Amino acid sequence: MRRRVVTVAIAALAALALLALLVAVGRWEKRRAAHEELAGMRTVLAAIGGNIVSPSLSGYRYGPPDCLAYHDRVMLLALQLCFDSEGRLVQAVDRRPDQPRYYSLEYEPSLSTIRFNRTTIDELLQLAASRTG
Amino acid sequence: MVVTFAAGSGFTPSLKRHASDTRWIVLMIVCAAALLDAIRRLVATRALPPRGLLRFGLLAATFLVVAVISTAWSVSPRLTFERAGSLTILFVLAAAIASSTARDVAARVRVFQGLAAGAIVVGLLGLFVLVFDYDAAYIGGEVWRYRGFGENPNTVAILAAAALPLILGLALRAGSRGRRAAWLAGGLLLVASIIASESRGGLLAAGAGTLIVAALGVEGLRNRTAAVAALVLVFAGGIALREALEPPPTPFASQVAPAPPPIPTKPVPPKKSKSKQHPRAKPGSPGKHAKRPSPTPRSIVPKVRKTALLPREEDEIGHPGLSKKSTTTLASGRLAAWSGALDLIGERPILGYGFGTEQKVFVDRWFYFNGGMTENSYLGLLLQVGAVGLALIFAMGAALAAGGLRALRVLRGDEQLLALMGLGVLVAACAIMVIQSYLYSVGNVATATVWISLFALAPVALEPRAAPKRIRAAAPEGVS
Repeated sequence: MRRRVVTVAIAALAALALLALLVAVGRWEKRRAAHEELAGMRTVLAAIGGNIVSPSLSGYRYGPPDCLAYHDRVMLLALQLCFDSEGRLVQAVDRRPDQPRYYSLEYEPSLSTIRFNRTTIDELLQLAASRTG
Repeated sequence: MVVTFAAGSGFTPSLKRHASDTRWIVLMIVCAAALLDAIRRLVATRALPPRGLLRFGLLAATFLVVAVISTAWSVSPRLTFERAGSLTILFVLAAAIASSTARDVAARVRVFQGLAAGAIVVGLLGLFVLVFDYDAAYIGGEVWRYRGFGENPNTVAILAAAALPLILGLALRAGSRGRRAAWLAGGLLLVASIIASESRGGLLAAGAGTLIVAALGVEGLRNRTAAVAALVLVFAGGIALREALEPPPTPFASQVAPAPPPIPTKPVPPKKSKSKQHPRAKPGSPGKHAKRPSPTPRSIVPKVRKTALLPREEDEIGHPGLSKKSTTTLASGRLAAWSGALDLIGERPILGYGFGTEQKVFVDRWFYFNGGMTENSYLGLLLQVGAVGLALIFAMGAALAAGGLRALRVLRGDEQLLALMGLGVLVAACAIMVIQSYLYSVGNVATATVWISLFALAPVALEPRAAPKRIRAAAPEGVS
């Protein structure tokens, strides 16, 4: 009887340890994925010049998420940044390669640590909309 | 229950609205009734549920545990918890039915009859829609596709694919010609519905599931060959018809707009920005971009020339105005979307983004693809619960497949045919998984039919030698 209790206790502890391990791995994956997406977003942002207020502004779309596009030397809509209602950068797109590269935290905007002034974003959206040709 | 869930994915928004709440109430009531019945039977016989069911239940429970604790790393913890809860209710319902019917072949036949009849009623309701509200019964566009009672052409097609192995098995075991004709007529109605829906995946799944039942369940070599040949002709013919009707894809011509020529202007010193950094903005590298003294939009007004409105988010990849190359149109654009889903999976491959979050994580950005989800349950599982969750589902499927095939050699009569029907549903379910995100979504039209059938197979498949003993114990005079 006592041996059985010990076996059950060990099994329960092992199950708990496994659950804790799963949670730890799940959260580690979450942090790592967010880090990689943010790194990708920063490369797109850097390609625009590090600032969303840029003369290369070339396109827009009201969302959510609200998006601004920027041209490079070749393509009109080469780069794209999208923001949530609080100004967090939740998506960046690089269309310069043959296959576009997407970096997104649209599924959980709170993971994004890149934030811009929402008023500036709204002004840029209005400006882009007024220049549509 | 099958009809209520079909109405939850019904052909009109008002029907969907009314049925979307009702289906959960029906699910709870049926679950409570099945649970009470299972407990009553277990208490009466003073026995535990069959060992085979306990083994399968352990795998199912492990999957549920992973689904529930994925709340800890989910991108939407509440959604994950709710979805895991609804799947738990369905698993409890299916396990209770399996426990109640494990020792009662006639009861298991009635369960399968109920599931099959539900699918046939949905097929009949589709016919009513076709007769009384023709415009609502199909989806137009380049190809006419029948949707009948369902939300889209795939809705009824996947329910029919899951139910057809049951219907064929019931037709094979029918005691009278009249009953056999009735089941076959119901089956033909569903086959016709799938063909008219032009759902290639539905046809493939229905073909695979029914072929198993026909190849192993029809008695006599001549009858068996005729049945298999007829099924191959019908389903291959349906797929060929869809291929013939499919319009050729329009040739892709990139219309990517070139960048505007540079404006030779003197550098304008930036004005002091009136807009301030957001108070909650975090310091550090990301903030650097925002914190740097930046010109207000007004300072760039003269420099910003013609702009363009971006296409819809769901059309970005493969859009002629944005893309240098086309994306594949194969499988209605699914292959291109699956490649994108694999990229997402690669970010969190072990445990995924949290159970029930597929719709939130996967964003349709493909020009030739229409769907809010990956439309593939294997990728959907990887996305939600990673390789760990998919491995558990594989383990459940492999245990049932291996055990079910072994059981066919041991079992005889109705017990054998019921195991075969369960295997047919398993094969159809695996095929549907290739074209639909459904197995883990309780609200889906086919999910309940599949899980109830699979749980009913478990006691037999995972403990086949106990089956004859159980049958003798339950009905000493013998059940054919």
